[in-house]
Amino acid sequence: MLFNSDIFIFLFLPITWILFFLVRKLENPLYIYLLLIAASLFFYSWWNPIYLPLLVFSISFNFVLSRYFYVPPHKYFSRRNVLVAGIAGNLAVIAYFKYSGFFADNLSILLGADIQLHKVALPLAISFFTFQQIAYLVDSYRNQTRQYGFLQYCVYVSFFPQLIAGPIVYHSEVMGQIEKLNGSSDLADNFYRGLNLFIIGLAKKVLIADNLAIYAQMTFNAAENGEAVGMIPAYMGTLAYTFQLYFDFSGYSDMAIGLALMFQIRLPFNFDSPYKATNIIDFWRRWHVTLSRFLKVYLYIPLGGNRKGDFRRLANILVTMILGGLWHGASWNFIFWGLLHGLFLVINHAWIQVCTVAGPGHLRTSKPYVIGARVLTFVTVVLAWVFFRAETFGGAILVLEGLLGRNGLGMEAAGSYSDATWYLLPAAVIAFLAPTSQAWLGISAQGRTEGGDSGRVPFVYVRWPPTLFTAVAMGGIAFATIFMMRGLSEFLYFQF
Amino acid sequence: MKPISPKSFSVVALVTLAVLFLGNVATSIILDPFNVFGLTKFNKRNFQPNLRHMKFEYLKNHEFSGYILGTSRANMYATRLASSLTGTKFYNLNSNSSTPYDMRRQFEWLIGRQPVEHLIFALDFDEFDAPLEHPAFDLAALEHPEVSKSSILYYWNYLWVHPNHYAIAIYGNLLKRDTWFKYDITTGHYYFPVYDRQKKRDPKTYIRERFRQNYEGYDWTPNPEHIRHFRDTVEQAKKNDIKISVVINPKNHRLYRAFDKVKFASWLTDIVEISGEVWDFSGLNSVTLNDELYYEESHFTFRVGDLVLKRLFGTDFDKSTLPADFGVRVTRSNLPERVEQLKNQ
Repeated sequence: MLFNSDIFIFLFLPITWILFFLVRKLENPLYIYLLLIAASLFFYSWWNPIYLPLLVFSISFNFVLSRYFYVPPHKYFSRRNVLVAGIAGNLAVIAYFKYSGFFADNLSILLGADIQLHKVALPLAISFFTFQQIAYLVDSYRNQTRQYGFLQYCVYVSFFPQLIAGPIVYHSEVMGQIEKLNGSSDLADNFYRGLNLFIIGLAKKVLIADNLAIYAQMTFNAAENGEAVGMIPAYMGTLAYTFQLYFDFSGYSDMAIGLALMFQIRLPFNFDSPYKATNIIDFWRRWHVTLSRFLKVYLYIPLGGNRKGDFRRLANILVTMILGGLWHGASWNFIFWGLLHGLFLVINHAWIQVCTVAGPGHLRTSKPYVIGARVLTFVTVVLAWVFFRAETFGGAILVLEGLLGRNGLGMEAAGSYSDATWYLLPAAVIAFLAPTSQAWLGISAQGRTEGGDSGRVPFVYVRWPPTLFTAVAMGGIAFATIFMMRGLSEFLYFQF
Repeated sequence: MKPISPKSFSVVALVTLAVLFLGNVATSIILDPFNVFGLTKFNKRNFQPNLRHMKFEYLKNHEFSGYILGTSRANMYATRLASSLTGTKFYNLNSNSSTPYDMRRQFEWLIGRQPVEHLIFALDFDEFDAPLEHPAFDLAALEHPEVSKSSILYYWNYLWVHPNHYAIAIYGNLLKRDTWFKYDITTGHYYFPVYDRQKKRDPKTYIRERFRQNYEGYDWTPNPEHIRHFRDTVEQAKKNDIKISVVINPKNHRLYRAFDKVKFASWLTDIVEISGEVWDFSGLNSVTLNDELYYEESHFTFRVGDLVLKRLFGTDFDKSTLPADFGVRVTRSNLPERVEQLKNQ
């Protein structure tokens, strides 16, 4: 079920929330857990019920394993072995569903053999719920979790606002909140903020991302068909995709966080104006924040992080980013995109060292430097997106050739992009100049990576002041957005 | 402005949403530009309603013994002429972007309700390439829910008509002097009165201004699912002793030249294999090469439709007045010859 669908907005959400409101009155968290689990499993199975058992199995498997870390270890099964088995089990599932075809294809090429595997559909959200549970297993192994009940754990993994495409949450961020779901938290206040965030996210997706998608598709489809891409189509298409992806995924994240707030759970933020980043390190602190921190905590640091010398640190960065690329999908384009970002990060770290050792450090805070750094970072990110969006390497190269002007201006196709400016300009203004949704709503930026059970996300003040006018305006925006939603489209990050 | 409480904010925002939604619902039902609710009869001209829906509502209370099925091009086969030539009372069930899957569902609805004697299938190569289902927002082409067996959600789509559609429907029905589009639900036909006048007055200018479609990059590939649906429909019709006539529509040369000839030949072979006998009016001939006989690259005129019907059902005298190169009866025996002929054009 998509957040931007009639069935979700007009039936699933109102019914689930009203039941939640009523069940809370029973003052027994058990009923709330049962309601949220039932709603979440229904939400998940709406897409394809055939993979519901996989989700249920995955949750049960990881819960049982995590409990092992709370009992004295059996002499034949050390804690470490159980952890390794747990991680391997999770990775095996994801490898089978997501990567087996890719590996078989590449092995076929390598060995000159025809290895055919039965094609399986990728279960929705598998990358997200698998990674979330691997993190939970590791934290349980490290004695960083408490013994939560099975139902609480089910809510943590399957909670429908974040089940499909994140944010990837840590148990420490939500478990405390789940335990207190029947408490006396301010339902009206959270609902109000959640509603605003949901509407803003929906508007980002429907009004901006979906309209930009048309232009991105034109350029990249032409390239995939082997057509030479002119300079204007290449720039318009690439920029359209750059903003489409941002507004699509950050819109989705806003909706997810907003929905969770309506149900009294604060999720961590996933975006912090990434296109305002002044370098690639900064970019990854702002883009898909919950994935970045997952890769850092559960991959980069266990690999040795920066503790084993400069060379190992750079190698660890590259490995982490390549695997991060592969996480997005089973394709060489994603791997290359990850490698590119890994290289950018390596160069970025080297540049910082050069500046620290030899350069005048104060220059790095000067306005011209900051503007130049922003532009350079943006250009770098945009170029890498070409590989991320293109379906084949050849397609990406054709678009890059277009960007370099090797196929002329492409005036004959330029007319098809004339309306793109109407969407690109506002998108760019919002991405470069406007505050994030959470900042606009006065939700502290501190919450961008944290938040959670300790309630450390202070709602300082609301810049979209709750007045009669803003309330009517928000209702109007919601109506206009739902109106424009007629041509249903999936969120880009559902495929990862 | 005075701040309000978070609770009041949420209530006001949701009430605003509900009021706007209900206002739109009321407007959708009262103006009903696609004529699906049927409570008012506001839209009569210049705004294309959902004719599929209207036709099946009409057929619930009216019986015919013959039906012409196909895309909007099949509209040009006049029911009056078809009825007089065959003695069967025909209804033109053409529908916007109709696919073989649509035709199958329409056929099944028909035979479930009334006896059918004769069916004319007017086929288009390019429509076999279309997706099985029409997008939910293509409000002029959604199938009647009893035909598609869709849920009540079908009507939900018509509660979200865009304001510009209201504006066009109001302007077209109340203010516009010319009638560009009108329909006659009793026969199933629609008409383009202004285009007819323009064509008659200055055909050369008309052709220059209306024939502008660029088919470069188009590559139609028939969907095997559509072929299967067409096969099932023909088999069911034969089982029910229904006479069938299969026509390949006379495509204007500009569109026909954009087809991949190998794919077209393969498709024609499939259609002949399924039907046994097909009247093929495609290819380059004295009719399809004459732009004056077309509204644009995609739609021929009633004059061409009449020629087709006469070729199929006319008397010997009728047939003697037709262009000799227009229409070939293709069966399994002369199929290779016809394919070769088309390839060599």
